[in-house]
Amino acid sequence: MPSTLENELVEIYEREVENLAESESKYHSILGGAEISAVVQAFRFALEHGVDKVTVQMLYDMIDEKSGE
Amino acid sequence: MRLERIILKSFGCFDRRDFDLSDGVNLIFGPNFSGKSTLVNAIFFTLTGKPIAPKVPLSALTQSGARSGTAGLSFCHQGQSYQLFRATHGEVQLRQKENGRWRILFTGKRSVEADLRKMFHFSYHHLGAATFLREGEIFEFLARQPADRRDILYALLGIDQLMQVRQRFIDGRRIAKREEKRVQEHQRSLRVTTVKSHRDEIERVEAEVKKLEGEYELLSSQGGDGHDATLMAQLNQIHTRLQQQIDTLLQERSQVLSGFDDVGHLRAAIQEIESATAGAKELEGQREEIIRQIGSLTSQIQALTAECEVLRQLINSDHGHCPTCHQPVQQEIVAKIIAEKESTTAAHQQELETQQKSLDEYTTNVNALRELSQRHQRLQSKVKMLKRIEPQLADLQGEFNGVAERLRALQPTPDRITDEASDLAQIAERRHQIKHRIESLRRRLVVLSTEEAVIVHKLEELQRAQQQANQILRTRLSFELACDGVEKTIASLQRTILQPAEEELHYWLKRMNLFQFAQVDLKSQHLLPTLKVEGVERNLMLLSGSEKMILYLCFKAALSKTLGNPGFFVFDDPTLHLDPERKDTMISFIHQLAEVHQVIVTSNDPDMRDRLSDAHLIEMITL
Repeated sequence: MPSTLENELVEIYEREVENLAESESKYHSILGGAEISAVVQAFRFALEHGVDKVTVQMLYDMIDEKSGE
Repeated sequence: MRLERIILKSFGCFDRRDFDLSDGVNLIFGPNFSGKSTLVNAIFFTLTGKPIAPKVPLSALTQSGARSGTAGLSFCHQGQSYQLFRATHGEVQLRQKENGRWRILFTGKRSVEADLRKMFHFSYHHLGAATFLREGEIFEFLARQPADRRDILYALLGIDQLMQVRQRFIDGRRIAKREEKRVQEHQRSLRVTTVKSHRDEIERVEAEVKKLEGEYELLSSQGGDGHDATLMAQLNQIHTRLQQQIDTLLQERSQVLSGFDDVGHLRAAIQEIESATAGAKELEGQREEIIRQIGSLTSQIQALTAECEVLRQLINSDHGHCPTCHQPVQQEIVAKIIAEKESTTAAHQQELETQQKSLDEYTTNVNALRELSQRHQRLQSKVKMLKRIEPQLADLQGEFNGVAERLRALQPTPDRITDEASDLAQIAERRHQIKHRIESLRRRLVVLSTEEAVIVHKLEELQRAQQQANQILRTRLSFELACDGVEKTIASLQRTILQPAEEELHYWLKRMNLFQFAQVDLKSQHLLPTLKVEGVERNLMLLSGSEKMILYLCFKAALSKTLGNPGFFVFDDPTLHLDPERKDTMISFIHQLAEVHQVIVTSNDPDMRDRLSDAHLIEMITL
């Protein structure tokens, strides 16, 4: 992956997730800022530490912990 | 990155050879089997650890008969000199030149691709797709399945990593769904067994019990079941206590009134004392005056006695002269004065005695008044005490009389018993019924309360389950959002990369006078250029060999521009199948690339050698 894109990837992802959360009612009727933040945080965590080293349970715990705060 | 030297040992057909490279165009020229492609392979292998051609084992790169082959590169990156060596058995070493000496940055058998990528910004897919052209690559690429091209595209853009992240999110969503199902089943089980709360029923029964208890109490006060005896016993106790209090107060009152018939008598005595002591102050004043007069008379008598004594001493003196004025003393006159003074003294003495008697009388009267005054105070305090005792006594007496009246009323008389017997029986019956009803309701309350506790517990559990369900719903939706977000990011990333790449490809095609009016699309076929000339799609497989080659190299240049180029291009025999006119186009293309990048090309075409006469020539010979 080009390094410039790698740096911007999380920003692109965050933008896309926020757009989705705003445009789709199933998301914006249930999810709030805490959940969106948790999703982006999990994505960043997976990229930073490498997908091979990040387990599903880690991501699940990250998102579930923040959900509903 | 600028490549400076290729270093080979037991690699390919070479035993031990170094090849210097220069800026601009480098032409590796030689006949077939002279080792041109081996040099291309050596550069690619050194940088990526893999052969440039897929499905070729590393052992194939080793010189025949050797246990392992090594390829190395000297290169310059951001002003620093490096040497990278790779052995076909897996060992790798990177050195950096510092102060004229090589310092090993890392060495050994390990994966260094991530480190190299971080330091020099290239990767296997990146070099393969955008920097190197290997022999026969173009036909392989055109013949690839869409899924393969998609994989290459994803690898190039890092989307493969995103796909892995997406897969993690999908797995997370699966866990959330499973958890959601479990919580929903739990909720269903709670709803089936949960009945309506007994709270209203409990409140109704409690109110009824309270009402019945009040009624029971009221009936109890009307008699029956030995209630009168209890009440009488209580009243007797109160009666006795009141009697004792009254006796105590009467005794106290009697002590206060000792010597008097009653309070009126006491008050009359006080009034008498008050009238008797009315002139007490005047009497005290008169007594004080008499004392003062007695003092004055006593002083005068003492003074006259002293004077008479002096005059007698004067008469009896031998000299007959006054000791003060020294005049002769006339004794008769002096004796007359003494007689007068003695007479006056006697009169004073008599008056003194009279006053003394008066004083005694006044003193007796004053003392009597003082005693009366003290008695007056004592009687006043008795009055105060009586003022306190009398109301208490009256209250107690009233209460005592009330109790006594109630006791008298409760005394069972034959007439009363006869009159009220039937009423009492009815009351007792009613009380019995109420008592039975109360006990029944209380048992019902116990049952209801127990059931209510169970219901409350279940409702709380249901509430907790609902909270869990909400939580898990949010978690599942978060994972769905995460998955959708990755897909959107992939699409966005492709747009971000491929749109400029299309524009760049169009730019190069215009420069090469090839399909300059065509529309180029890299997205629809996953990186495979789709050409639309005047609205009609051109099948790439039907293009001429030279068109394919130039289009493909322009495609690499465009990708390289968009993805970033490490600083060089390596093309293995790019003029294959080109006619002379297209060779000019290709040479022009190479020169344009060389304006910015180092370009390494191989060829066995003497015409190319002549046309690239300004290039750094690496002439190979048949081994």
